[in-house]
Amino acid sequence: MPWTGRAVAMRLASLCLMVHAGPALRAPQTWPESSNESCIFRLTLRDFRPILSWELKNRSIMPTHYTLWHTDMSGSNVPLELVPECANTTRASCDLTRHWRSLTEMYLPRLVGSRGGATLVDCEGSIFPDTDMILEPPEFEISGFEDHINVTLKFPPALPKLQPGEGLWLHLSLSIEEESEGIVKQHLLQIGEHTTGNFTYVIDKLAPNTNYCVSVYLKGNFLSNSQQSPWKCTRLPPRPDSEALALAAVQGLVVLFLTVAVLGSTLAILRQVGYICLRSKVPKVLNFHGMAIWAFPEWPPLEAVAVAEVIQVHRKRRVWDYSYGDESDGDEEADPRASAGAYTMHGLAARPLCPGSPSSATPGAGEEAESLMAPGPGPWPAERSGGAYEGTGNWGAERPGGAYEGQGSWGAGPEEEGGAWPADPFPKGDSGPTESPGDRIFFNVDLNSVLVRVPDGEDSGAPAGFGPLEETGGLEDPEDSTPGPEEAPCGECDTSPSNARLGDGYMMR
Amino acid sequence: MTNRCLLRLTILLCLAGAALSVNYGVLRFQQQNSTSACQRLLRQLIRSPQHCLDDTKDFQIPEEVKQPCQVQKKEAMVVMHEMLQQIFSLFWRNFSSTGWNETIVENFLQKLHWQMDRLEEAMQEGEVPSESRTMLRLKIYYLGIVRYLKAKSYSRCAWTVVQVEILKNFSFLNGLIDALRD
Repeated sequence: MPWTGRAVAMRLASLCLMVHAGPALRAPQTWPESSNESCIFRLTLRDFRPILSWELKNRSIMPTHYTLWHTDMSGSNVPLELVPECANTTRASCDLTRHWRSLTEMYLPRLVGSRGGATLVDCEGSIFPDTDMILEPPEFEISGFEDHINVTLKFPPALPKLQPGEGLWLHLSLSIEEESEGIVKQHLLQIGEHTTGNFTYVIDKLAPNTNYCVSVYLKGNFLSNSQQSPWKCTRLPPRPDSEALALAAVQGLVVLFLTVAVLGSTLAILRQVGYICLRSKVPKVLNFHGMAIWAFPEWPPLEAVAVAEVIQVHRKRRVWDYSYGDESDGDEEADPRASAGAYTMHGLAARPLCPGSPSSATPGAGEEAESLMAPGPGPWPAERSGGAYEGTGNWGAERPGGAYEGQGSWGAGPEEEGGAWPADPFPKGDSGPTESPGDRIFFNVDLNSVLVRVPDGEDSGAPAGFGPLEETGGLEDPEDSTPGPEEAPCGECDTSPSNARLGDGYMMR
Repeated sequence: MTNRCLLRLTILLCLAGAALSVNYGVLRFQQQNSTSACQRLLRQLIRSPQHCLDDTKDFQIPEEVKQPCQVQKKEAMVVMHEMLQQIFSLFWRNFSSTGWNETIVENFLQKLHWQMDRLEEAMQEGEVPSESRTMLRLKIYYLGIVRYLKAKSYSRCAWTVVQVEILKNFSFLNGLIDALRD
């Protein structure tokens, strides 16, 4: 029978195959007594599949083919079993999904490496998945949005079909970590039978325009067995509102800056003008601190000043009747004192002291107590002297005794019976009183600021300057033979002119 | 006045109760860390188990311990304490003749003791449930391990097989620790 012959041939062929492949495929009857741990076994959970990989300690041995056997210590006397997927394989790893299904079991792999039919290595080991299995993280991608990140996890399309409750991944959890600005948050996901295919997890409630980094790893009983994936980072886009807010904030800052600038410049201008914060600082030119003494000239020595005594004279004002007629003594007599040193609101009249001259009331003039004050030096003419003044100008001067006739520094007006115009302390040259009374110029002179100089060596007719107007008092110069106030020389006084002087030099007020 | 005192006392008692109540989160964290550490130390002691295949034995640990399902917190703590206590006594009495690394064994026993102390502190709060059938089976289980060692004359392979079995026990303890989750 033909099929019978073929069956025999096939059996013979398989027998030959077993003979040639004996060392690799024949299950070892016994384990070697000595522990041969020349291999390093490593179990890795990759895509929910336990992958056993190995590495020879002696790298000089280079097998070309590997065959894997395994058993466990469950106590059921499980014999050493060949892993068909890893029989005579050239790879240095083996997928044991269908063989190793419990985390809490001690698995015993045995590896035989050969080259050209010769066994080069025969090693064994022990693997307890709960403590020895390394958990590789799944593949994932991230995509950032305004306030959330989508984490897309790439799981295998289907889980290995095992008995219920079996599978090395059942008691694991997936940890997703998000990191931003040094803060790490963990999100835990339980892995079950429905964890298949691409799975998207959303990390929400995130801040826009912020950098976020994401990493994943499988978490078992031993954290040290978990391999963490590399960080994948993304920057979330900003919100459109945040841009508007930023623009508004910038505008606000600009407005604030301009306001502050305007206020500051306004305050600076006001301060500069002096409207506020007035400076009490003395100008530099008036700052004499540290200035050398030589810069300041010595004050001129004060001149000896004759003591002037103010004598209040009560007399009546005499009204000048514009008469330039004779100088009647009678009139003069009547009003020597009255006119002496008369001071009206219209001008200054110098009247020397006229002893005995009664003060007569000038018709039309009120009694007034007048005091004659000598002006000070400086702007006043030097020719001025104490005593009464008599100008040549328009000013009329009453010339009681003691009146001074200068060279014209003072204008002297014509006498009058009825009155006398006060002398002009501001003479107008040599011009005489040619003008009409109506053209006269009146000056108001403050006697307090008038100084009269008593010329040295002048005699008699020159009045001693201003003299007291009062009868009772007058200028006294003890050195001079000038008579007392009552005896002061007076040019037009009834009394004889005397050489009474009021003193030398300036008579200061 | 009396009402105020009563109110204050009530508040004080509530706060004290909250402070003294078991923090299961902390307890779970402590137990997980200690269990992991003990498991690593025990794994270092196991050498060449592939040579002891002839001495392997199925000790038949109770299923409710192997796969706990809807276990109450108090009951889980009681079971955990019993397991830790049995493991401690198993290694404490007989390890001297094994030739193991003494440093590893001492660290292993120290961590076991610390783990039991934390569990006892938590068990003091509230009532302790009475012994259940799970506890009885558990005790029978460990008794069988002790008898196995005696029968094997505490040989190296017998100890290796026991070490592997205790290694599995710690994996089951992790499952019981998960029952302490709120």
